[in-house]
Amino acid sequence: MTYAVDVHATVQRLLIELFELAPTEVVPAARLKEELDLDSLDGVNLVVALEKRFALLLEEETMKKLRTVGEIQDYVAASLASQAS
Amino acid sequence: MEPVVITGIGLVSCLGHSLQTVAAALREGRSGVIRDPERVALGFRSPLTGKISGFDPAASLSRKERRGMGEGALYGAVAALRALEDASLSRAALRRPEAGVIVGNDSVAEATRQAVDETRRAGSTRTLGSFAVVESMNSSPSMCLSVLLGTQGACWTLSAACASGAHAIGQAAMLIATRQQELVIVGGVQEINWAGACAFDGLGAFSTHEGDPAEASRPFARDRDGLVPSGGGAMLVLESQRHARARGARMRAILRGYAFSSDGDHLTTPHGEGARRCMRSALQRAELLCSEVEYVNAHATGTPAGDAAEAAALCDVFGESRPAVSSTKGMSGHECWMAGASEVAYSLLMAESGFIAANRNLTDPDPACRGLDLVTTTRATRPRTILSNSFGFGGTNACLVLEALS
Repeated sequence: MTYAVDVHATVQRLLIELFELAPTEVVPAARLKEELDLDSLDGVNLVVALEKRFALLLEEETMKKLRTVGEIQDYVAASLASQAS
Repeated sequence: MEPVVITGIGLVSCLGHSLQTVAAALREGRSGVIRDPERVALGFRSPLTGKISGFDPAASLSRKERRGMGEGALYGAVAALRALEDASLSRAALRRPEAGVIVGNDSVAEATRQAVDETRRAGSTRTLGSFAVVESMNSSPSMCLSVLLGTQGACWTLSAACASGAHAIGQAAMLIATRQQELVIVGGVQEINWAGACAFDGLGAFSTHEGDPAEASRPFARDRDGLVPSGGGAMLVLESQRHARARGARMRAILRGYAFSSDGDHLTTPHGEGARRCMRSALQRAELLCSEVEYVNAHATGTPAGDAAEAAALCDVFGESRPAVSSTKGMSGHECWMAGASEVAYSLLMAESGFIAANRNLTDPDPACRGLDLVTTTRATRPRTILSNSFGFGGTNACLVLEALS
C-alpha cells in the first residue's frame, strides 16, 4: 500500500515538473487533454520520463488510451507490480 | 522597388537585454566577455566567451511555446517578441501570407550533442522524446518562430557562417522590396554553449588572452590574438515603408542597400577582394558616395588576418573619405551567426543615442590599419549613414547600408 502511494506521488510530481503544472491541478480526476492542456507530443515525452524514472517499459498503445492523471498512476503502479512478480 | 524600413529591434545580448542597457554598454565600452571554467575543464585552448546574464525564456514564453526550442531558437524567439513590442506590433497582425520570418543561424551543436549522447547512453533512440528532432535542426529558430508568431509567408533559416544574420536581413529586404512580403521578422541567433564553440576553438582562432577577459577582444589592435566567441539573439522588424506608414509606425531607419559577394578563394582566410566588391556594390545600390558614409561598423573580429584584410579593403574603397570605423566586437565578442543582425541594431542604437562606440582595447592600432579613422574613445556624434560589414568562412560577404531616421 505504501509502495503504491509512493508511485502515485512520484507520478504526480513528475507531471508537475515536466509540464510546469500547479500541484493543485494534478489530482487523480484531472483530464490530461482538457484540463491539463497536454497533447500527443507531450504524451511521447511523458512515456520517456516515466520509463526513465521507474526503469520500466510502458506500452505506448496503452498509454495513448489513458485520459486522466489517476489512470496513469494506476497503469504505472500496475506495470511495476507486474514487473516485480 | 519598395523602400524598406526597420521599425523594431529586439535583443538578447551579452551587453544587455533592453535597448537602453545595450546602448549604455556601447557608449561606456562595457564588455560582456568572461572566462568560462567549464571550457578550462574541457581542455579548450581558450576559455573566453560572451555571457548572457539574466535570461529567463519562461518569463516570455509558455511551456508549449518553448517546446522544440534549443538555445539559439530561444534567444531568437525572445528577441523577436521584444522587437514586436518595440515596433508596436501584435502577433495577430502577423497571421497572414504577407508576413514572414527569416533567421540567420549556422549551428545547433548542443541539441545535436545531447541527442547523440542520449542515444549512446540508452543504446536506443526511444528516450529522445518528441522534440529532439526539431531542436537539432538548423532551421529550428525559424520554424519555431513562425509557429510562435503565426506568420504565413517566408519561413526559413539562412546559413552563411558569420555573415548569416546580415544575409538574412538582406534577403528579407529583397522580398519586401519586390513586394513578395510586406513584413519580415528577421535577424540572427548564436548558441553560446561549449559544444557550439569547440570546433572553432580547435582551429586556434580564439584569443588566448590570459589577463582581464574584458581586454581579450581587440579588433584592429597590433597585439590582437584572435576572436572571442559570443552569441545571443538579435531580431528586427523589417517592413515596407508603405506598410509602416499605413499603420503609423515609428521608422528607425531605411535599409538603403544590401550587397553580397564571395571570395571564391579560401575556406577560412579572407581574400579581401570579395569584401571590396561587396562594399562598393552596397554603396552603389544605396546610391551613396563614399564621402556620404559617416560610420562603418566593421566586421573586424580580432583575428590577425581578418582585421588586416578588412582594413586594406576599407582603405581602398573609401580612400580619402575616411568615415569613422569601429568594431563593436571589442565589447560583445564575436556573435558569429547573429553578428550581422546585432551590429545593425547596435549601430542604430548609436545613431539614436547620438554617439559612435569606440573600438574597445584599441590603444595601439595595427600599422596595417593606417589610413582608417579608427574610433578610440566614444565619439559624440549622430551617424546617419552607416555601412555594416559581415564576412564569413568560405569567403561569404554581406554589406548593409542604413540611413538612420531621427
